[in-house]
Amino acid sequence: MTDIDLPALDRELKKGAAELLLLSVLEARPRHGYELGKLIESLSGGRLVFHLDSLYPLLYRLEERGWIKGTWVEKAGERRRRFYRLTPTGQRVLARQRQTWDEFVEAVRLVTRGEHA
Amino acid sequence: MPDWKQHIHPHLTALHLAPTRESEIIEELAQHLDDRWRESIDAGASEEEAMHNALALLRDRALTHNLRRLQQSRQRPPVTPGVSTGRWFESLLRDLRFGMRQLRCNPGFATTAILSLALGIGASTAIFSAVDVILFRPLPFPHADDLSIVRKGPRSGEPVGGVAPANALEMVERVQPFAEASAFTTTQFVVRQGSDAERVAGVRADSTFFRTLGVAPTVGRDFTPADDRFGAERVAIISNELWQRAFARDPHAVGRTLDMGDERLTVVGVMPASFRFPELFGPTFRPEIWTPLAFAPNEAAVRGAGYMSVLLRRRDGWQADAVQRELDLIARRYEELEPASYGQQQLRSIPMRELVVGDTRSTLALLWAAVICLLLVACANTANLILSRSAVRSRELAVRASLGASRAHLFSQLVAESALLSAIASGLGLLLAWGLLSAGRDMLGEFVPRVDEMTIDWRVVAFTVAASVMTSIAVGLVPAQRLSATTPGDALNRAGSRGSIDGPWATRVRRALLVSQIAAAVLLGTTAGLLGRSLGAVMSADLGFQPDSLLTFELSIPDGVLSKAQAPAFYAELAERLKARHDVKSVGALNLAPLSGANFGWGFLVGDKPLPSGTALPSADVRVVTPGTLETLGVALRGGRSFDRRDTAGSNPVAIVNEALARRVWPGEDPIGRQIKLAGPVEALPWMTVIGVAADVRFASPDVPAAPAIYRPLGQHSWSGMTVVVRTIGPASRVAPAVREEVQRLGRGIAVQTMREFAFYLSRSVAGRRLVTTLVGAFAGLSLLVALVGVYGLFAYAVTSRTREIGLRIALGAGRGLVVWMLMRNALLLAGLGVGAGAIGVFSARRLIQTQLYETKATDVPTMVLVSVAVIVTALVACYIPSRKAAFVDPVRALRAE
Repeated sequence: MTDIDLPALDRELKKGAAELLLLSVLEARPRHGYELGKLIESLSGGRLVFHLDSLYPLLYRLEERGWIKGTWVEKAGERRRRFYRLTPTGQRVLARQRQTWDEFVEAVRLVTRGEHA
Repeated sequence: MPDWKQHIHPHLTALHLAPTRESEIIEELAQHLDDRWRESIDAGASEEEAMHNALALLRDRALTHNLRRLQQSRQRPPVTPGVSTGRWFESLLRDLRFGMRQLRCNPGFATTAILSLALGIGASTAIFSAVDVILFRPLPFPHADDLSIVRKGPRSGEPVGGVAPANALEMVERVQPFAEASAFTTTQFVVRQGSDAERVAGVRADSTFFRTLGVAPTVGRDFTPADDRFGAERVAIISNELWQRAFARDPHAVGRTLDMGDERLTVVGVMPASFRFPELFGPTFRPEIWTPLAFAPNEAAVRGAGYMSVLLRRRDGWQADAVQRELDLIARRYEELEPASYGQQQLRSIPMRELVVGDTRSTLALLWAAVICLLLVACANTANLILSRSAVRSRELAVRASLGASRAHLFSQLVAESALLSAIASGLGLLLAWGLLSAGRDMLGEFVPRVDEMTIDWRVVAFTVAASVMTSIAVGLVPAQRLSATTPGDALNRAGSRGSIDGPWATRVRRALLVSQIAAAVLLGTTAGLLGRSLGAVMSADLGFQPDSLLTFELSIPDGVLSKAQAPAFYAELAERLKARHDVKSVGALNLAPLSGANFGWGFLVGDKPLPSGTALPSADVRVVTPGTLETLGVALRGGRSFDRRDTAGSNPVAIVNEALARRVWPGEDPIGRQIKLAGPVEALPWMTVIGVAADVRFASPDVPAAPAIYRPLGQHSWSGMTVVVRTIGPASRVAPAVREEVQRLGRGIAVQTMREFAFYLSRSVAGRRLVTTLVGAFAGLSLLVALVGVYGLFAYAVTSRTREIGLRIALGAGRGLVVWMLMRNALLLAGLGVGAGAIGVFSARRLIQTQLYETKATDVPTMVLVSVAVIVTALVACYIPSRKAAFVDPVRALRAE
């Protein structure tokens, strides 16, 4: 299992990747924190795990930037939960980050495939 | 379900989150842990294992660390006024806003404090501007501190005299190695334009004059050595103002001529508008025409008569004493060659700025001291006002302190308030100073040098800012220190009762401030009183002539109309014509009218009292008069006869001397019939017989005792440009138009110019003294007013804070008179202390005050007593008003009041 905190990854890259992951899974619909963590873990086949102590600070930071918005939602018979959804700004950021990431991955692929040998 | 909150909370405490935000985060994280716990249970774990799995998510310090980087963890604490936010600028802004609100809430306090401070700051700023320009700023010439003027005088005294042309020219040559030098003298021109004629002051100078000063004409050229040769074309450089008046700023004015009657001057240059001739001969001497000396050989050889000045500019590398040593050598040489002029005499190079400052130095020092006194009174008053509000403030501050404001912050808040107060006052003060300077410039121009330079510039603004900072420290720091030191408990405990802050300390300080205000009012009041007495003494001084109902004027006489020989007859005819009028009593004419600011000193010899060798000639003021002039002026004759028509060019040369000369030359003897002679060649200046002794006339100024004077008849001593004096029956102003018409009837283009009642000269001669008196009087009045506001404020407050005690005393049977006396006794004590301190102030400043007094002693007891009584009485009145109110307190209501 690869942890997202892997020190081998560049700090910015790591931060960018974590942001991109959260924004991506929020694109379809609003989700609460626990669900987000679980979803990323299952979608990555257990390779990516968000710790509580990095997940929530990151959510709060994205909220401070206005990319996502958290709202308390109460359901009958349940404790209220805080759901996060993408804001229009968040959607624009996601599109841009996704493109940058694709380009980056492609570039890394070109380099690491060893076609230059 | 476990209580997750107790596990999460320790991770958040270090973040100081807002309480609502903190509980939200705890709730959200608890939900997360709960989900994890439930998952473990569902997967078959025991509760203990599930608990362990969930808590494993809370890694040590990681959460705190990651949250700390967020904005919300930097949540600002709630604002408590006076509590630090850690940001000085924001806290300063908030302190200022808060201070502004405080001032707006107390308009009475704010207005009184700001106005009194603004008056103090405004007046001191205006006087500072004058002091700065006159005493501290170099003259407006390049390296002006290198400039000096040579003066001649007795070795024992202050040298004030000039030197003779031959001596001046030699001196200029001799000092060349050490200094650039230029010889010059003052003169007067009559400029004619059509039928108009204008008298214009001028300077004759050698060709290096402007270069030595370090200035040059802005249009045209400077003088050249060729211009300075005898017989060369007569050229002139004119002032910018004259360029405007005579040529309407025509750029081609260079090459045009000025009509001077007997000669024409070709204009070769125009000085810049900014150029002002240094005020070496008083502020009223403003030359507008400069011509080269171009001495005729005989004039260049004149020795003895000292009407020339020598301007020096020290060369680089030479100290002032090198120049002075050379002048000492020159003086010693002249002492051997010309003992009549240079016996026991010295030549001294006096810095030009010192001559310009003249005797305004002591006047400015007095005004400066007075205005600082006023500023201090205003500061003391404001400090007192701030302290008076401390009762109210102490409770407010206690509340803020108990809400968490530190002492330092309460202190900075209070200092910000006083700084705001003095900043507003400074702004107003600056405006006031600007107004005073604009209004004062015209008024001051006659007797204060360099008024044109007095403006609100950065130095003045810097002074105001400094004054403002000092003021805010003076008025705010002590009360702030005191107030911020009160502990919340103390103040809150006592908050129920009024006037609680007034511990013995505050009372003592406020009383001390009040005493100092009264002392300053007494000091200023006494000074003003002394100046007033002194002004009265000057106004009523015996001038030696009668200044009432006297009309003076000068005549503009076209050239060729009147030869020197015809002048006596002309003035006699004019006198006859005017005297024919019913409202004219007598008429005369003299070269220089009394108090006109001009005099003509000349050395003289006495037939029967030859001078011991090696002593310089004594000098006398020479007044050329027509017959009847002494009578017209009302100068009493102490012996002998006056001039009459017999005293003509062909008759025996005669002179009248004044008592001062007679006393000095022939003490205890009769001067009549003695021989006397003006220094110079005997053909031009023959021996004269003294035919009369006239009473002393104060020609120079009403407060300057008469100098020795010699009167000469116009018939024997020609003079162009006489001043006619007319003694009128009834007010001079009513006769003036008729006199003007009468002169016009003489025809030949002769016209009256500058006709004035003599009262004008009299008033002008005391105008400087009157201005100083008025200013100090105004400062005294203001300081007394401010002090009275202080007295009233202190006692009104004392009465209010003692209402309960007074009520109790009345309830216990104290008479109302006794209550009033109880309060008044205090006021009397404070006023007495203030008067005492003021008297000590007057005594300490007596030397400074004495410099401005005439026939009045600075320690004049009646003035002091009068001012002291006036101050005490007004202080008692100011105290009586609140005291009376106290005496009519209803005891029942007073006791219930608290």
